Amino acid sequence: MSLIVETILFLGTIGIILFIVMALLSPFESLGWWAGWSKRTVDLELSGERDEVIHLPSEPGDAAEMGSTQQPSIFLVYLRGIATAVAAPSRREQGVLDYLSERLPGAAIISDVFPYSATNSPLTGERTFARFYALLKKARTRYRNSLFALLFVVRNLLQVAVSGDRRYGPIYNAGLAREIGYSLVAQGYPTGSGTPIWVMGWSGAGQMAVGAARYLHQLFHAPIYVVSIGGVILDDPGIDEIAHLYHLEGSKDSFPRLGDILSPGRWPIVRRSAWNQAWNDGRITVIDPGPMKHTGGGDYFDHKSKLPSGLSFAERTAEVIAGIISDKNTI
Amino acid sequence: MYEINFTTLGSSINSFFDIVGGILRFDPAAYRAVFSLEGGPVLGLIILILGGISLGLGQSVVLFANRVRRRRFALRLLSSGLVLLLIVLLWAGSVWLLATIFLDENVPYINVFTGAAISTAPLLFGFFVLLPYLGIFIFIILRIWALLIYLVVIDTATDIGYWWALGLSLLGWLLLELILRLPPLQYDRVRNWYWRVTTGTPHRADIDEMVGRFMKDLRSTIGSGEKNTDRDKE
Repeated sequence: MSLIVETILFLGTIGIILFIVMALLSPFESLGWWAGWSKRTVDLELSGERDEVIHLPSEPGDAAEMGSTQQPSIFLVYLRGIATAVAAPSRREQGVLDYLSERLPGAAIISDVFPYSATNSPLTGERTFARFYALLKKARTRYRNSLFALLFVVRNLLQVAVSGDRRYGPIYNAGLAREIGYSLVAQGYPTGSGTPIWVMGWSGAGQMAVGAARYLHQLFHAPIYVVSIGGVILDDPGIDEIAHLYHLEGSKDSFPRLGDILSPGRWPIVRRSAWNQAWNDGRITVIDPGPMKHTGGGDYFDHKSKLPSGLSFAERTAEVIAGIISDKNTI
Repeated sequence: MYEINFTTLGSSINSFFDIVGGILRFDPAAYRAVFSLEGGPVLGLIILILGGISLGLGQSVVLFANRVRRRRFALRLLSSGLVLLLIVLLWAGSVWLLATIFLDENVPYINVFTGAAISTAPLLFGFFVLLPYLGIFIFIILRIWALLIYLVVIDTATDIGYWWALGLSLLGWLLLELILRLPPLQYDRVRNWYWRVTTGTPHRADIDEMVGRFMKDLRSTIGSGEKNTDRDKE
């Protein structure tokens, strides 16, 4: 009996130490990039020598004309939830994005930005622990609902904390905004037109969307709308730069409340915080799309769970988001 | 019972952790040991320098933000310990001066310095300030912890009590700030010089300033120029 207790205590201690080490190291990825300590230096990228070559259109709209005949009228960026290693959406998420695409003809839906890296570098991409993460990803695919996903969650959750930290946030969020900016332009976003930009984030990516919004606004001088799908959002200066935040919170999803608790700026007593001012200005709308949970079966992207109306949870999520964007687009 | 034994590396490390543990736990026996044993001031000095380096690492975001090179980064961290030593030397000096003026007790300067030095023991955890989101709160906790240790140290070493100890330390800090800002000392100039020499960058820019420059450059690459400069709120 005591051996079991000792083993649990030992593993628990190892887990706590590992978490603290991961937390201490978490700001260094973006800081190292910023300082020019890593391969992806700021100067290289600004001089056009990026890791992935993106051909910027010479005139607004050229990129869209190259790929399709119609200029997109809506630009929607989707940022994945925290239990992920790459930018590409899962099949479930892609289903919602496809539905949105049907409901919003002429929308350019961008889903190639990995929000948990300031340099858009997936965990299995060019990085020291890429092999480890690739193995972990395989193991997670083989053993579903195992603890393997937990490491991704912890790693990405710490990046959410980096984004929400007043010291590291500006650097991290500027990097993320730059990556989103590159993707927008590559998709034909007409720079200088003031066309609204929609950034949609699930779970921790709600904070990433809000953090990047500040710099997207500075970059494009366009209204930035954020759609948070069960997002955990901290009181970020980015909220001040958002035209409107639509926060979807399922009645069975208690995760977004973490933002209420963990972020002192969201407490009602801090009246002058960005969050409370946006709330008082009416720039935050909370929507209950139905009895969705945060993740797993019965979440916002679930195609199997149905509402009494017959709509799947995924269809309902897409319907609500499409409704918001359509309404705003017709005003 | 605490011992300070610097004869071998092993005994030095043991003595160090033993006494630092006692200091952090507010154990008066640890404070008395530091004051009564021969190696006390040296131990205080080691705590102070290591604490300064650790806190320097915890607050290193400003070095990254200013794109300080790796070697300069290491140099700056090492010098953080010496800067903290200088600050505590001066602060202890002003507290000692005030104590000499206002109190009958004749406390030797070395004791005031040693007390101030060992009270920085919580700063050994200064690297935890790196932690995202929690780091700022940890910094506040470490400072309060250090102040409380200082009050208990003074209370143990003298008969002046907590309130006098608190008053003297605050007045000492004020006096130091006043002296440093006397025009002949050119405090800001010295500070800027120290920044330039240790980091190799022309001036200490804050993060928002650096990010602002970055966004300006980026805007000229992919952005829009000057259109729609209003905040585009609803």
